[in-house]
Amino acid sequence: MRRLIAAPEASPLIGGALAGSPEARALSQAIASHRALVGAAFQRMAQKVTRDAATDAPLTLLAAQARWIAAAHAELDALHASDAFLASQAKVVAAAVALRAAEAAAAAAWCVAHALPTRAEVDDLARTVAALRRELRALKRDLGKP
Amino acid sequence: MSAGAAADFWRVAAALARAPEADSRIAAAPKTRVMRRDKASLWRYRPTAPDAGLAPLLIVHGLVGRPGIVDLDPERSVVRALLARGVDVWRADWGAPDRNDRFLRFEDYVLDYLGGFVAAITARAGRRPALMGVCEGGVFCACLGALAPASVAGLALCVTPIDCHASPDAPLARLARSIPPQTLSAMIDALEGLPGGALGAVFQGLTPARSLEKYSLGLLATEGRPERLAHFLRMERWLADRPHHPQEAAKQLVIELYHENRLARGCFMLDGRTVDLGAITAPVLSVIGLRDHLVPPPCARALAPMLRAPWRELALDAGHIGVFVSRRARGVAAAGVADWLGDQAVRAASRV
Repeated sequence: MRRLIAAPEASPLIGGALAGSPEARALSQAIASHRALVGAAFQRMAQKVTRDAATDAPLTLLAAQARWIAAAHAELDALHASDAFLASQAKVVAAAVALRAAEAAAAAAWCVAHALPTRAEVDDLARTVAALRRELRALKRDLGKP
Repeated sequence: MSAGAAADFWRVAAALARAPEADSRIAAAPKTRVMRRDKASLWRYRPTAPDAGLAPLLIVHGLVGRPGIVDLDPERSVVRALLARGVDVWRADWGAPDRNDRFLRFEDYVLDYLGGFVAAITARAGRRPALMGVCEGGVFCACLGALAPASVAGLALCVTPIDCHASPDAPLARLARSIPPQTLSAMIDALEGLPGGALGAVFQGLTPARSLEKYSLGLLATEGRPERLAHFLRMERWLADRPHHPQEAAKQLVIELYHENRLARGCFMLDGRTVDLGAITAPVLSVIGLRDHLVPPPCARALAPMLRAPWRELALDAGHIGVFVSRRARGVAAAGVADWLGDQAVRAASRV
């Protein structure tokens, strides 16, 4: 997943060429919004734990951990199950996919310019080989051979 | 923080650091490789008790997790419990799919690899095998049972998603449906499949508090209990070793099954043929985890009304993985499957 949402600068082939692109900006915005959503939930969780701690006697390590986990159950599980979280996550994935598509298009153009097979062409070949092998296995199956 | 609790913490940390590699070995029941097709292998376990004369049992995993979960450790091993009851146990292993396998589809796993293994067992054992499918492996088994009904003696479908929309609040189905199919498809293409690490992160993200609990209170609970620590490490080893799900098969799983629910709707196609679950003739045993959040009971139970074949349910007070490894369910799944193998209908269907 980290690979999918990696910034374009992380790509060894494209370098920073797509860093300022609309796709990269859209991804940065989607990630920032998502982080804000998750950060707010962590803040609410921390506030609850702090509030409770202020009124209680000092806790043992285990009791303190149990309190954190109870708060996490209340806040984080609810967040991850919420429509807002799923929608925000979907936006990150869509933006990441759009950036990867832009990166793939740039890589394909570079390959064409240097007379190299593109990823799509290699995929076509691999798909053809997989289909041929499938047909071969089906033929063997029909002939009753292992 | 009390001094005692801090000392517990450091003792657990030290025990983790000292834990011998051998203590976390999994899938150690003795077995022999019988057949290999591409990266897929068929294994046969060494018997530990006299043959009970039941149908051979082929354990089938999906592509989401490795087979070790049914033989996690000697004390919590479904495989060893079955062997002890005189069952002839076999196992399909899909190996470690990589980029070269990204265009493999369900068709390849169900009709070619699994179908080939079933034919090989029938030829060697002289009896048709029953299949025990685990999660996505159960989907493979159900598909083969529907497309080649006469080839199998029975289907034990463990925590198997049939109707992915039967529980509207199920987190995995909600996650899959929150992203449009074309985006899912492009994402899987960009990742060249579903990397094992990403899958693990997705599963952990469904219940974040449970993960926090496991790595804090759960780990501390192993203090002074070497057996529990060893089990914890074996579980972590299995979780960390999640395989990469091939690209095309991943699209079928995530989009066609989870997003579009094609299997339950009767429009899932394999090799140009519709998978009609009503065509299954072999007896079916549904093994269900009552606390399974990944495949909630209604998702698995949805098969029953589609069947004309005999159907039985074994519901365990356990989660998705707990069906096989929890202390509460220990031995119950294996005993239930062995009992079902002794059913007259399964015995009859096993005869060649």
